[in-house]
Amino acid sequence: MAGVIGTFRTYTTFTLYFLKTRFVYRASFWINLGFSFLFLLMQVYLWKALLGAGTFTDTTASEMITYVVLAGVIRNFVGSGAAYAIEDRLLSGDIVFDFIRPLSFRVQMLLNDLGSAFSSFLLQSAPLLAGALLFVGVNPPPSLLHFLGFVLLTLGGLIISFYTSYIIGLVAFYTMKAEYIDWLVSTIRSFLSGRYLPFWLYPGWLRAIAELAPFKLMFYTPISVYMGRTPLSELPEALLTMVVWILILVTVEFMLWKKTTNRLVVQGG
Amino acid sequence: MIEVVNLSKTFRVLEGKTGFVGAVKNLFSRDYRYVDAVRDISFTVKQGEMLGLIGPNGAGKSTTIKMLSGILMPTSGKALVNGIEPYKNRQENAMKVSVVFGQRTKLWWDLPCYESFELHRVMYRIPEKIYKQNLDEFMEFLELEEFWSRPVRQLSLGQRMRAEISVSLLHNPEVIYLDEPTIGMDAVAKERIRQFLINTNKSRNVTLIITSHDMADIEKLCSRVIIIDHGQIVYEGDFDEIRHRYGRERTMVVEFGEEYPEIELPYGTVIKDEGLKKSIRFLRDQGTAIDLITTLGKKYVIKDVSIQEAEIESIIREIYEHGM
Ligand SMILES: Nc1ncnc2c1ncn2[C@@H]1O[C@H](COP(=O)(O)OP(=O)(O)O)[C@@H](O)[C@H]1O
Ligand SMILES: [Mg+2]
Repeated sequence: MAGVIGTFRTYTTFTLYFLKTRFVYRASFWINLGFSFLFLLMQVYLWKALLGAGTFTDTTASEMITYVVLAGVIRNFVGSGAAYAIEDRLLSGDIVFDFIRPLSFRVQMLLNDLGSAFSSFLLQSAPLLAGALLFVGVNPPPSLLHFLGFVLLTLGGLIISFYTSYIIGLVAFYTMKAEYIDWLVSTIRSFLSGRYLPFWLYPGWLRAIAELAPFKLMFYTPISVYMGRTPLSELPEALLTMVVWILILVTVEFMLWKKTTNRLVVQGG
Repeated sequence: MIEVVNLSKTFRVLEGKTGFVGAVKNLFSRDYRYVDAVRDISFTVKQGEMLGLIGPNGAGKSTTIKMLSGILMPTSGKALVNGIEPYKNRQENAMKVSVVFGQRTKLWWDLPCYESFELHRVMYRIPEKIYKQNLDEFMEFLELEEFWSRPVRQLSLGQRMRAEISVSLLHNPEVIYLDEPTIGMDAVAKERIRQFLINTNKSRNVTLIITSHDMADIEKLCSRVIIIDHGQIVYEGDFDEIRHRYGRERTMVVEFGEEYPEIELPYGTVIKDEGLKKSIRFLRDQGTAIDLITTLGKKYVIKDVSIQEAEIESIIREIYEHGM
């Protein structure tokens, strides 16, 4: 038990440190926040205009607005920077320190992600959400259970996002560069995750592909559960899909880990 | 307690292409170049010893340290530290050792110095009593208060290294690896670090493995040295013996008062001629520096003289020329 508490303390402290370093560079805080607000407002007015004209009969403007606000909030949790962080450490050579701490590399990278998730939640999502609630309006979930499902799935989305990015980062152990693959995957991901549009507005073929990929668990699945678009009866299946995807990614990482890290080279003295 | 057996490391370097297409090609490329950084080295280190690993740049010192500390996987051979192979049991190993890199920092760059200590305490689960005891000692000897709440990025090299070494000792490691700990420092800062390392080694019986290309570091710190060159051990033994047997080469830099295109020397050779300033190399057995300068002073106008310390490169050259 003491071991578990110790581990938990190490993890929370580490996360807090990653969070703190994010707060050091606050200069861009207002600018970022301003842009996030503008982007959100743009989407809100776009949807009001489109749906006011009755373009999509089965979706109301307030539903779409709820979707984009939630996507804007979730974004900070599921936008893993692991690949970038690994590449950065490999290029600077500071990766040496990640290998001599009494924590696994994987856990350190995850805590780094959590640190930035919480810092961007505090600096970005929270004010954005408050603003949206005050000025734009967000639909409440149909029930508490819907909300819990949403939270669980978002956490799952965070893990999935982390693992995909982290696995891409491991590729950098071979190539020293993850940038291009990361960019490619991010682009594909923004379509397959439902970052900007819910799947029910997708053409049939794209929706079919998106349903097969794990990325839907980052935006579409949690938000559609929140909105009641996915009925509670389908929640167990969604959670199961989430667990299966996490297991698959964990296995892939496990198989790659030894091979990649044995190939570690360190830049500079 | 440390046993290194036939340890080797070959780096496989991709002849990398750049750009997007290059990055994709690199994934499939087999265009490799091989660098033998460490070749088949073996040695042992006892608990509480201070071992110096010296050699010129690119000799393989850092690579050796990285394998011993568990960062890099050896290509062949093995290292045993406290009975485990560090690169196979990284986390277990991390609890018992520490590594300090003179050219890098493990401290949290943007945060005040004390934050790194605090994180270290939690990460290594250091009991409050031990933490306090250690911290008090470092505070006193290394005067950490001076910069305790300053962000690490604002510290001078010497200050940073004081913090770096302190933080590395907090969890009472059994071994501490120091890779070029004094690099880039001024003489005073260097001396302070050296003194602290000597005290630490004595009072804690901690094993220290130090690399440097500065002979003075090793001379002051280590009784036993290993000289490596091109990834191989070319000498292993007492430092005193090196000085006796090999420190025979001296280099004297003489600044003349007038231009002399040709100077007549009783012994030694001019190895560098920069007009008024000439570097003369001679062997200790050939004669003393005093005799040389006195002889020269009779014939030529001399403004200034300095004698350079024997450098690692010249000792290695001597080893190759004269054998062990
Ligand atoms: N990451 C790397 N990739 C390729 N070659 C490397 C790498 N690191 C070190 N080397 C090569 O291995 C040799 C030994 O390097 P190193 O151990 O850093 O030497 P030292 O620390 O003694 O200066 C050098 O020839 C260096 O160029
Ligand atoms: Mg080096």
